[in-house]
Amino acid sequence: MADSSGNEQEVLRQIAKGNEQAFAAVYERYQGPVYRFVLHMSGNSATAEEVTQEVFMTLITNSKSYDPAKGSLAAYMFGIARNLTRRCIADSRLDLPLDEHLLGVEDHEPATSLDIVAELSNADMLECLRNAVLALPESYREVVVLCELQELNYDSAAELLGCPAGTVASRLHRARAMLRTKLKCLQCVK
Amino acid sequence: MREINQSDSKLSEALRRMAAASDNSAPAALGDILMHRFRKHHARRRQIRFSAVAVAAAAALVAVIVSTKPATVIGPQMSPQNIAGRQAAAPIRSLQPSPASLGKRAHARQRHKSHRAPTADFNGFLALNSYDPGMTTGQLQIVRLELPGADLRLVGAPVSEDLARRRVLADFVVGQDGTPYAVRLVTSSN
Repeated sequence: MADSSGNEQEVLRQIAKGNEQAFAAVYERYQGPVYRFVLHMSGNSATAEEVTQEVFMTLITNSKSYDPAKGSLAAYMFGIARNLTRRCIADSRLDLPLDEHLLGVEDHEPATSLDIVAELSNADMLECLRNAVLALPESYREVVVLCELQELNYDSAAELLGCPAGTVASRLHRARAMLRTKLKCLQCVK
Repeated sequence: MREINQSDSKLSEALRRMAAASDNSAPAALGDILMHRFRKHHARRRQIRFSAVAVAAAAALVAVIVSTKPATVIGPQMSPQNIAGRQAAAPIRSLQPSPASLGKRAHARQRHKSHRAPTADFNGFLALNSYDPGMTTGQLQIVRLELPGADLRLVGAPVSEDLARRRVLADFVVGQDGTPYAVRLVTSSN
């Protein structure tokens, strides 16, 4: 996902100088991952579009704020996207994570029934799954979005999130348990 | 445990299906908007940079003119090498300080009070800082004196080191009280 830091620095230098091709190349490379990340984090395409635009506007207007010593360009852009998404969600009050006790992860055994996801092929269940993902606490939702929806490995996700790969793995494990429980709850409701 | 793993893989598969069902990239219009903003941003930056360079160049030019004007005007005129030519061009008896030109100088000095460098008029007279533009020509007279070149500095005339070591013959425009208002070098000798 990331170029070597030297190349990225050169690309950003070109962007700062006004090289359109350099900017177009970076946009082509990162607009998809950034857009999908925000879309799945917020569940809102308008927010995804807005945040994606803001991320690239930051690159246009303030590309010098990127420090290759602190991480890759992808991590830098995802960091901006995460912060902006968090702000958008807080503003629109869309962030409604399930409480631990509601999820029952602490107090109950995680749901393990294969039937929970057996019928996920139909649109209703996909919507159900989408809601379940959106209901996850932010730190868990991030790893689900990156590792499950964007299919990054633990190391790449860890680099983008700025945490150890082990943390990503444990969060993902816990997030899956939360999702299973949430899906079970949703099925019960239905 | 096996059941959990199987459930995990089904969950992952369902999440991937969910991801595949979502938009994979930002709308194409967003790319156009960002490219437009990129061009606009850099056009504005170029404009600002050009303006800054133009202002800096103008300031540098003004600074050079201000700093070199006394040297270029007074240096050659007040150096021994230029005396003969200047005398030929401006015979002593036929030249009088022009009240009009001195008046213009005075107005210019009033506008730029900080700039107190002596200036030369077209007759070869150098207006000294003591010159009063309100004075009528009837109050002025020309007095020719022979004196050490260094003494010209006492009345505020900038004199080169070479000339300072010589004896000079100079015309002074003096008021009724003897205050020198302008000076013109006639000859110099070792």
